[in-house]
Amino acid sequence: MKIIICLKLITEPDVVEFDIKSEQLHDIYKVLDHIGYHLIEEALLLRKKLGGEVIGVSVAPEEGDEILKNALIYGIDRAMRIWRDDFQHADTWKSSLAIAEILREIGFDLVLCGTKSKDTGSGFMVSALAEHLRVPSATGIIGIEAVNDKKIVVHKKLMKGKRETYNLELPAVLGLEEGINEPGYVAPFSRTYRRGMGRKVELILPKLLKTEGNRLIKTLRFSQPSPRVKVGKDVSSLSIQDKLKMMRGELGREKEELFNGSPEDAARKIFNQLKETIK
Amino acid sequence: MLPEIWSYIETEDGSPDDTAYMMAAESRRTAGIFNAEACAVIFGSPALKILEELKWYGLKKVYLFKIASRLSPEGIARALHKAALKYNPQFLLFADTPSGSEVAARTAASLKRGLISNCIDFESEDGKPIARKAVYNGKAHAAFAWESYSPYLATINLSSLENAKEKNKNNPELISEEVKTESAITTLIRKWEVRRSELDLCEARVVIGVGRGVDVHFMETIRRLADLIQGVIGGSRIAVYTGLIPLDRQIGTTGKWLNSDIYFTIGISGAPQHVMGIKGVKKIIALDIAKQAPIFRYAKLGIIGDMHEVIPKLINLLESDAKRDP
Repeated sequence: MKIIICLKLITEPDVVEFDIKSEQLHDIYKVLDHIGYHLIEEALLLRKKLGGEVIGVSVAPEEGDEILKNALIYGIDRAMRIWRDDFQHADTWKSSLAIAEILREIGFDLVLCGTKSKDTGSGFMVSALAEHLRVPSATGIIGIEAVNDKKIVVHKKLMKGKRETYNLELPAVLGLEEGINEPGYVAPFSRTYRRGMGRKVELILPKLLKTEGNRLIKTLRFSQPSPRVKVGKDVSSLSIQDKLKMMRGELGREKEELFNGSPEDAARKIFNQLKETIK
Repeated sequence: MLPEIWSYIETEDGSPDDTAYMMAAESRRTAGIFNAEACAVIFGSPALKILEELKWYGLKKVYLFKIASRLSPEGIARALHKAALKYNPQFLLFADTPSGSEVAARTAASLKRGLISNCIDFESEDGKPIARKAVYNGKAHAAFAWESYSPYLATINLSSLENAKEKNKNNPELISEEVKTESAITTLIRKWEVRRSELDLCEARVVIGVGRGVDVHFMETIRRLADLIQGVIGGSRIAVYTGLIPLDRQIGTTGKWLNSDIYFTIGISGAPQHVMGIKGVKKIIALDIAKQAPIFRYAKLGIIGDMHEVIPKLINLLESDAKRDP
């Protein structure tokens, strides 16, 4: 079984700072999106169960070599970095076209991606890949049960504790959630580690024509977080105080009640509020 | 003729999802920005109640796609693709829920149109629409533009959605169509639910927060309360330090960000770092002994009192209620 994992190089959201004066981002520090470690772990688990090989792919500039090398050390079999100079400002669609092209060439049974990345998180990759490759897809996966190499059962996370279980025929593209597993650990100088050190990251140039790989969206600029206009409200007519209130989400909020009375009444008040919300 | 804004209304087995009416309001809001007609799109056979309720949201048209059986996200996307080519709407809006964003992504991919997800606001710049969304944990906002033709696809951030009704009812034009269900490659085996009290904090509907004011011996009583209201216990950083709760139950900037319906704080004063993490909560009930605690500024109901007196009485009330109405 050929398992492909799509790794993404992202700007570390905890470190990056936005400068209000120059409206630019500072301290841009590239790391592997954390879901990547979960993808590696899940792929290795599946390989253990069903056999085959795990291939990591990433659309990234030269900085991406480091994360792919790291993935090799974790125990994946091959790592491919896809890049061409015109990918500098590529959006998800363009990257997905390039990945799909490579996947068609090398073949695949199961493609694992993150549902959404931590930085800009468009959540488009899984569906775009599935569309190019004409295979089924599912996102928000928190559990994979491999039945055999033709069929898998996946558990999908919905909102507020709701879950669904699906039957999927392979090949397929899946978007995983972080809760799927606990990323593993590789001891330095263990066999897996040394084998990974010996492997090289392959650089691949997509043949994709410039015209067919047009972007669908583009980033215009970054700005300071600002309030959203409420339905039927004109933000330009608000005073500065009201705008600030709006940013804090205090505008138009129901009046709060402060109660200072006997414990019995207090308990009754809390009880009523709880009852009102929890059905 | 004005262009149309389509809002995808999520329903489950004929009943509305939490975001259903909010998306109708969003459709009207977006229509206001771009001078277009607000429309809603529903799949399945929704109860008449939904169609009646939708009259309050100033919609011009409601597209009803009747399906015989449950459709997978791929099936809905395929049907939306066909409908979009036929009616040519300007926008397709979805709520940023797991199922909403999956349908949105599949539709965008099959139409080969751009999708901007988790949008906070739309603007018009030089006659072209742009969308704004929060990036890098909300540290900055980014403006995106579609480079593809219409329909422009977008999913809307859940905490930006609001349930705003119009003052008057109107009668939207109802356009219904049959959608053929094709045999699906992905098949649903079963639906299940995680017990409410075992949920992760980010997903929980009812959360109890404990802080510095809570004594270790009092935790047993609070756990009892959590059982009764099927809530999840979380808390401030101090509560983690004093060993009341494990690290993965910390709420605030460095911990989990809540999105629950109700958050009941016990002995939490409300440090700014903690308050940041509870922005998404719909209703906050605060119980603290100090009158000047900042948490009361954010609470819908603030109670100044001793938890050792109030909580046991609250438990009694809940227990007697549970007995009466099992």
